[in-house]
Amino acid sequence: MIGAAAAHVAGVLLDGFNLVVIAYFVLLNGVYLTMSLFAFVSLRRYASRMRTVDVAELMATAGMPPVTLLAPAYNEEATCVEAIKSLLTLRYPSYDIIVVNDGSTDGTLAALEGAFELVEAARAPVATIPTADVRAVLRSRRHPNLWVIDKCNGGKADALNAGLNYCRTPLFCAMDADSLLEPDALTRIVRAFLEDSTTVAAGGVIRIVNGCRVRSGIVEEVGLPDNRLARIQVLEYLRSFLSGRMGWDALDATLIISGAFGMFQRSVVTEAGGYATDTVGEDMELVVRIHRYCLEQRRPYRVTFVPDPVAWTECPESLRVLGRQRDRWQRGLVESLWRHRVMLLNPRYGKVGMLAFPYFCFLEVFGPIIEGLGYLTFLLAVVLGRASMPYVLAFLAVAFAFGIALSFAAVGLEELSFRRYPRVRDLLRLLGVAITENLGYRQLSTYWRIRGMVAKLRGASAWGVMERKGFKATGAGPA
Amino acid sequence: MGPLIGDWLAGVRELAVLDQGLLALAWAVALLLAVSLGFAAVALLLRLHNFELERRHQDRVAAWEPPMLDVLAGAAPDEALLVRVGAADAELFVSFLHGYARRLQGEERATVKRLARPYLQEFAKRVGRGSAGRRGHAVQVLAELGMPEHADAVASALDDRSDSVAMIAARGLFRRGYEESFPLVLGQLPRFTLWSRSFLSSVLARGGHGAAPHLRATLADSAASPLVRAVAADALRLLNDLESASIAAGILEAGAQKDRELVAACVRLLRHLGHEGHVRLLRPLVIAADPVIRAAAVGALGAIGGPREVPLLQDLLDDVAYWVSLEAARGLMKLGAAHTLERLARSHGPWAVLARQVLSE
Repeated sequence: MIGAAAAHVAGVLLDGFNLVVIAYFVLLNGVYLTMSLFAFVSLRRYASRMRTVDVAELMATAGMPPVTLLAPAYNEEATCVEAIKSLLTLRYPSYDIIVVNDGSTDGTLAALEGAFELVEAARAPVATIPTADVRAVLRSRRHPNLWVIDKCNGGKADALNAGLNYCRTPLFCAMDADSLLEPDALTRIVRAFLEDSTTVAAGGVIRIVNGCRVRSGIVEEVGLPDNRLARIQVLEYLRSFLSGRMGWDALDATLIISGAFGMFQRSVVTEAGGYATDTVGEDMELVVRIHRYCLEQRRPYRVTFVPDPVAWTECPESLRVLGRQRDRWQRGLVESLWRHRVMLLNPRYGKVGMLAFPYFCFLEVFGPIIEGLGYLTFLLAVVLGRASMPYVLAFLAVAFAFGIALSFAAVGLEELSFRRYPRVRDLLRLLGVAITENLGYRQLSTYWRIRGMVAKLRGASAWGVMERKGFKATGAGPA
Repeated sequence: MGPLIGDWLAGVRELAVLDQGLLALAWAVALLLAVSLGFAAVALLLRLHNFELERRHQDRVAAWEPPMLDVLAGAAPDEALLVRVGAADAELFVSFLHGYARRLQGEERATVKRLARPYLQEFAKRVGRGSAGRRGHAVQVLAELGMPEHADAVASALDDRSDSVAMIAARGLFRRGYEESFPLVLGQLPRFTLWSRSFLSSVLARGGHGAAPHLRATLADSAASPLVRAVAADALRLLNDLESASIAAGILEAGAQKDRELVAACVRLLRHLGHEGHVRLLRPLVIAADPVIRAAAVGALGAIGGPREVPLLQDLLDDVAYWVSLEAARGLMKLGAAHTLERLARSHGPWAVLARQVLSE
């Protein structure tokens, strides 16, 4: 009797959870679809406005503010020289480059010293954000705007803070030392600050360099990588930036600016305390903190996403490294949201608190758990006879079809706006990836994110190592 | 294919008899797949459309470029080029000319404008109509190729509902030195308060010395907003307009002006264009509560002050704000007090690195 009652309760709970999974699925895809629609409208408007922007004329304008590029480097021996050479060729009237060697254990510093003739130089810090000890401030003899700060290891956020302490310009661009900025990326992203002086942060687009031909740090020919995993990430980035971030920007609720390429007002970031060193998601945490700080100070501000300045970055090509990256991203997300949980559904924090925060909390943090458990409970429901197999299969087919539709929409947005992949074959391959990624990759991604959550609960704080091939090995053609 | 679809539909109907929910899911899958196919078709059609546009563009440019170079060199009449422009290619042709006009000056630029003239009426009609991007493009083309004939159309865009379009008009009018419209643009400055001030002042400075009298009047106008006056002061500084120094000095002398931006802009102006007689206006500002004003005043003191200011600048090295200390150190260098910095550089004091930095600048 008791056993039957317990089985009944378990069955009801199972059905209830399956309903939660369905509700989550409907809500998540509804949000994605809405974001794609917002992104469509915004991108069309943006592309139309772009017709009137003359980058060369903008660059000739005396009013372009000087900018500092902050590039933290930890064991980047393979790519740092090439990447910095590309930074030195950027088309921008006035900029400093500060590479922060964060206690690398490989030959990063030696490579930089050899390539750029670094000598010790006097440079007084402007701010006093606490960081690990700075061993030396070096300046290139060949390129007076190139500086290297050699410091003890303290992590990426600590390195950024060290760079920030030495930043003298009103704007700084946080980036990865292995990212390649397009020559006019700075001019394009600074436009956001020129057109609205309340802009305190702006993010650009990150694209995948795997499969592209790179010469002297400049992406000469854009192509899709042959590695399937990297190809899937190309599509993921398109979805994330062109649909997701563009959509959130249309709602004026940008909560993420990638650590690989973002421009910030120095004074606001220093006033807010710089980068948090006790999180692996320092990029998102900073943006959330900037929102919170400006709203609490009742300061007019704007955090925005600009879809045409591009930074190219190398993505992982092995499941092991990609899994570690996604695990870390999920931990960073959880840490950022938990730290600023006071903002959740708090009208004081406007659209960020009432829209973006709940989305990231309920759909991005708990989403993978609901989705992962959903696979199990649906199966269990079939085994226990509480759901029919055709029903479950039909539901999975809907999920599959939704995934395809959203990915196809992202490819359509790319075609509508920037068309970076010139070969028709690449376009067709992207559409193909949109179908196949739903089987296997999507589930793996869910697993990695759950693993990140579990690791967070266990108190993990490791970054994991990214294996770099170096740009010379990138692409089909000669480098 | 037909029988297959028929079988599939029959299967769906059979299932539907069993379960309405299943039918709904089946329809959802079909709908989503149809939407997906729609997106894919749009992407592919867009690609084809863009290919075609690009091909057409390349063909036309290839056909226009040789006669264009001949016309610019005076080796061929305009008609040699214009006969190759079909009615459907007018917009493309104007874009082609626009690219040339941006790079050329003098007679060659006048030739490009002459070539564009027959096509610009269409662009003038677009001002105030259509999307902001389309309106902005029309204003940009007219400002580059249609001045002074279409100056009224461009000036009318200063009232456009979009700030971006109005800014394109303002920049066009100032860049091409169309003096008659300067007061109009300056009158519209308050609508651009969100734009970066340094950007606005550089836009105004593009008007050249013809803009200076208007800017001076704006700076002197106490009824104008402090922000607009600050922008005018910065533009005058960029123009190296000596006459404006006395206006800036007058504003500081009155002492009534409390706006941080305007005071700082006037001080910056005096730093570049002032003389030793203005030093007395700067001294009280080096102890201002606002570090922005303090830094500007210390910088100006170092630039236009004399050896008498050295002790004051030495004291200001200890200011709590880095920028004030930096300006004080730079001022000491300019006033020939490098020995003070050298002594500091040798010390282990808090400003040793700053002193070494300034000595090596």
